[in-house]
Amino acid sequence: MRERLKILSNYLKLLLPYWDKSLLSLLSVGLLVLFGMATPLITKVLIDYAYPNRDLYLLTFLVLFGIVLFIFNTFFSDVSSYLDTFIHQTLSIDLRKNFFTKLLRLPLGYHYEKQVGDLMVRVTDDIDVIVDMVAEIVPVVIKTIFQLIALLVICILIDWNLTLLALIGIPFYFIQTRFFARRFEDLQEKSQTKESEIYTFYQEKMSNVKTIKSFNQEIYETDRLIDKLKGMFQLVRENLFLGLFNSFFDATLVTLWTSFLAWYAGYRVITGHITIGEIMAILVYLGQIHQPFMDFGEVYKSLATSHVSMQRVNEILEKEPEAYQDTRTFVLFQIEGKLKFDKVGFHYPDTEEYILKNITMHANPGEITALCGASGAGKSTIIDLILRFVEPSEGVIYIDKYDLKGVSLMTLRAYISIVSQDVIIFSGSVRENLQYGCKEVDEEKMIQACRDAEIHDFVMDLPDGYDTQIGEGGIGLSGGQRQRLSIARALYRDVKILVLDEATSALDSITESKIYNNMKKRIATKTVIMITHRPSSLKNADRIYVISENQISEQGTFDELLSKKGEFYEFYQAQVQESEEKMEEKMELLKFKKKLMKEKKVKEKAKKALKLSALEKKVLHLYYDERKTYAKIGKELGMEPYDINLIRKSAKDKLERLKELEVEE
Amino acid sequence: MRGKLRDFAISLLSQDMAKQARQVEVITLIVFAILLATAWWLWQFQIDITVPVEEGREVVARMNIFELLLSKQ
Repeated sequence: MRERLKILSNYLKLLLPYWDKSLLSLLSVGLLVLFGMATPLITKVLIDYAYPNRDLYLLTFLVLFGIVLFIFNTFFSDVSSYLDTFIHQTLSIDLRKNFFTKLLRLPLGYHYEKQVGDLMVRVTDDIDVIVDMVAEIVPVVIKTIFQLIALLVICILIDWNLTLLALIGIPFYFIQTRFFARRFEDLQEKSQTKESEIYTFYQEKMSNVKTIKSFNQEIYETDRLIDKLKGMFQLVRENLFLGLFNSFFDATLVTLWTSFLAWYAGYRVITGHITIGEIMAILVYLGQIHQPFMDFGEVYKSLATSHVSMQRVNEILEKEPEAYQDTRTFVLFQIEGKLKFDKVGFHYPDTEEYILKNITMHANPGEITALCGASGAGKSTIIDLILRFVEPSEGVIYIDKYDLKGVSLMTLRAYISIVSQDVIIFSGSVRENLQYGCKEVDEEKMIQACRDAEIHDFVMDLPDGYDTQIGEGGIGLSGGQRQRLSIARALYRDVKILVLDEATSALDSITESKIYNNMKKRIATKTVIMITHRPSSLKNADRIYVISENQISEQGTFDELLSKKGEFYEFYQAQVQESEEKMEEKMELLKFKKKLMKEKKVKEKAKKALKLSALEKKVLHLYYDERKTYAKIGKELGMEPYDINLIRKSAKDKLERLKELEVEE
Repeated sequence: MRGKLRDFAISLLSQDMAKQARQVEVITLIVFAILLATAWWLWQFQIDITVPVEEGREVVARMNIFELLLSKQ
């Protein structure tokens, strides 16, 4: 319970910046409760004084008083709605901002472990539940307390006897609320987990449509989705039944309770203890007295169900972020860009299995350092270590003469540009994508970067040039275009260390070679680290490290490694062969495409020759649709019936030939 | 008239949210002050409770609206 209150109080603190608006909203709510109390009392005075004494003056005064109350009531009700909505929305923005900032600051390892769908549910549904609860809990509790006190005071003033009797029903209400709240909480936990599963499923399938299609698994995946949705439906049904039982018990309790009170109030009138006006007023109030308890019950249930969401969101908010702005680290003002790995090893904390072992290497400014090796050898982990997405389990990585662990993450990453294999293009213009992460805007520099990445001409051919929208909702780009854009983005940042992780895998050898030539001047002072399988790329490297079985097995220049005839030699031969095979495949494909085009052209020609003339169409229409004889058609068109027959036959033959051609296609 | 209402609605929606909320707060405080003044005036204002007698009406009690609403019989 204490834990729950602690979490709740953390969220309630979000209201602090809006204390003035919250206070005004509470004041409005309090006034609304008071205004609501007045109407039965006015009715009581009318029945007990104004009508029996035919007091027109009092009647007029009370009606005017009622109108004034109505005006104030409307105003404060609108104010309360406005302020509540404002607080609700700003809270939602604040909490989402906190959550999103934290999420982006969490170590990459966390993102690898967590499923995107689950995070999506946390940032949408869970935060909605929390905001609803936090924004409503304080006004509802205050309003309820205020309403309860006002009702009790007025009821006691009218008839304390009846009021005390009315309070007997309260404990029963609390018992049943507590009973249902626990079950609602369990269901909420199951629902949120299920919803996370469904979101993850959607996300995974939508980003892998190509694979699903290629394996013909559309029906299988739809069936799997239906299974998951059925599971969700089951939970919704359980929730529905529980809600129905809860409402039934609520309604039964309230009906029995108010019925008994109505009987007892009538008894009090008959025995002369209270007047008719008083009984009318007190019955209205006693009819309302269960409302605060029901509201308390709702708050209790909402607290129970939202606790699940609070825990889920808290799990992220309380996670230790990356030391992005750690003040104990030092800031890099100017670096040469020399990288050195000294006996570095890495394994994930939950396993002893090494991803990298005893890595000693260096990458110097003005040189291209290549890493090659089989898939899963640990090449990309080296990049993750340089960017400090993960920390080495042993050994030290130096940037110039500084231990990487002691360098401020913010400045370290500001000196590194990465072009990865999976190019991410954000929704927006080409310009926005190129300038992503750059504070300064330099048009000339941007265009030059695009020229060097061999993408400028393509961009200029787009409808709005650099302002053309790409990404989601914009123009689609091929893999090669995306890669060239990504290279341009990295070149535009113009930083000391450039990381190319299979950056040219989607480019043809000619474009790749052009890009390397264009970059030569640029990389004279930069440290370039390149992960690649391509023989053509490897030739550009000054130094090559071969990673095999999580260690560096060979190192040297391209020629040195080839002359060794060791692992690199085998690797290189295999890659060259693969490239040649790919080239042969491409040639075959081109030949096939050409053949298809030729056949298509022949067919198009034949189709053109088979096109029906206007006269033929007319004859067919009159003969088949209007069912006219040759004689009638001939008369209508001024021709002999024999000729009409010939035209019909030839038109029919043409149509059949056309059909055959389409079937062949 | 319709155009004016539309302009008014557009001007309400195009305002800066924080500034608008501040304005609502100020207006609420002003109306709250008016409400207090009205309540104070009603507290001062004495209503004559009269009953019909043979020669017109006789005042049986004088009280303000709050006393009247909470009075018993």
